[in-house]
Amino acid sequence: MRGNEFLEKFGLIAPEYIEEAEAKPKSRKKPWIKWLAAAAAVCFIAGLAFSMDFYFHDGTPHSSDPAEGPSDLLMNGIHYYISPYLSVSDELPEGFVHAGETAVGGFENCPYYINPGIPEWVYVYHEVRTNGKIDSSGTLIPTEPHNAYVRYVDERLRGKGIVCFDGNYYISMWSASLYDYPDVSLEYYEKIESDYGIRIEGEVPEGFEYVGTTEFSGYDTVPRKKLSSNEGKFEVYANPAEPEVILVSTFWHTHTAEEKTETRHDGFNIYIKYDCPFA
Amino acid sequence: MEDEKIVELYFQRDESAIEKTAEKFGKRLRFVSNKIVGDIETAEECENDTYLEAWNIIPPNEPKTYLYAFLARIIRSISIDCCRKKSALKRSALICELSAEMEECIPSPEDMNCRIDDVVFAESINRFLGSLDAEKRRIFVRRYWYLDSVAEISKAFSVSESKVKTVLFRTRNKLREFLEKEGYTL
Repeated sequence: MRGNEFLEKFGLIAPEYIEEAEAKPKSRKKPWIKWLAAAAAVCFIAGLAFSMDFYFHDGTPHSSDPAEGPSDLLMNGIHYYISPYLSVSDELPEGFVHAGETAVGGFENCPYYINPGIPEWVYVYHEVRTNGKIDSSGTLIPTEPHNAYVRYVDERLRGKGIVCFDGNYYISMWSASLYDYPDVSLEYYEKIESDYGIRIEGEVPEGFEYVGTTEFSGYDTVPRKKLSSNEGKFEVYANPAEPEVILVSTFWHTHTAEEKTETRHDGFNIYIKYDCPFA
Repeated sequence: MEDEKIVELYFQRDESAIEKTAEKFGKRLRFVSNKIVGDIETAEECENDTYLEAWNIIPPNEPKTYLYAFLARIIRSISIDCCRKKSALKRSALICELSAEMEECIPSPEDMNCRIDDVVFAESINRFLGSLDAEKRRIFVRRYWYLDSVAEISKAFSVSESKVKTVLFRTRNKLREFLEKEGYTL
């Protein structure tokens, strides 16, 4: 049997699994996730540059399939994707300088800006329909169409949960990439996953001790301070005997068919030491 | 109209069965097809072919409790087939990509001559899917049944694309191991 036949036979799975997968996934309760979902919705409404060809520094026309998600721009061999936090601003952030113009989202001659001190970001000036701020419910505030500076992020950083602890970098098992630009090797990842999992629920495991609470370095940033995170403020636990792993406090909710109400779970996300390309 | 009533119309060979089916499920079926073929006109052709196929196979089939899934299966199969035949369709590349991924699940993909019983195979796959937690199962089904892109799944489930790729990769490996344990040498 070949893959195409297997793909066809996969069509025979039970009806309940087909129906189950069609249902809209239950939204997660973390405020920033809600924000991301809202950003995605606003991006969709705004008709941002998600399905357009993009021409950049190296002059290489780079097209993307609309079904494959947000358009990326290619610069010096690195793909930059629009920030998942939809960071937009009316003022060009300090330190960024005009580097050229490009076509994006159907708009011609959009200026773009780079900052040699922050090579992981590029700003493009194009139309948006939000001011980038969120309301009390965590939803992006819509506005009339207007031009703004929109952040695009190096794919090796975009969406990655990173903690800097005592000069070492740790990446969330949830976001560590094993493909394209792998953050860690598959063997390493699987070993840690086998020992700890990706997330654990309950009390701090034996041997791990509280080492402090992270300072928030900002979304899409590389945390550089002694104990800092690009996701927020979290308690961190470490075990001197297990230097490859730190535990970062978290919580999540479930609401399964067996649970009459939503259940909160407290626990820890597993972060593993890795060679941060931006260190 | 209730699914059961629609199926009864098929059994009575009442042509309004197709009209009622289209009314109730047309939009969802076109959506499934359009995601595969990436072309709305082709999706509409697939939808019409689906109604014809349903007319031909109900009876003997009697999908009173799973009519949508039954129709969705048909349109999926027709749409994939359509992609293969119309190689000019941009989405035919997607089928190749997904086929290559699914090949990783097959213990002995080089064995071209082996054929297996569809029903028994489907039972095995269902047992495997039943062993997964709900989120992993839905991600796997979204990718290989609905043929969603990784980016689409990432957005729908509010997780990173890395996580989606990791879940898919590991689930494919688990499926291969499962099939090996089940004694399949495909």
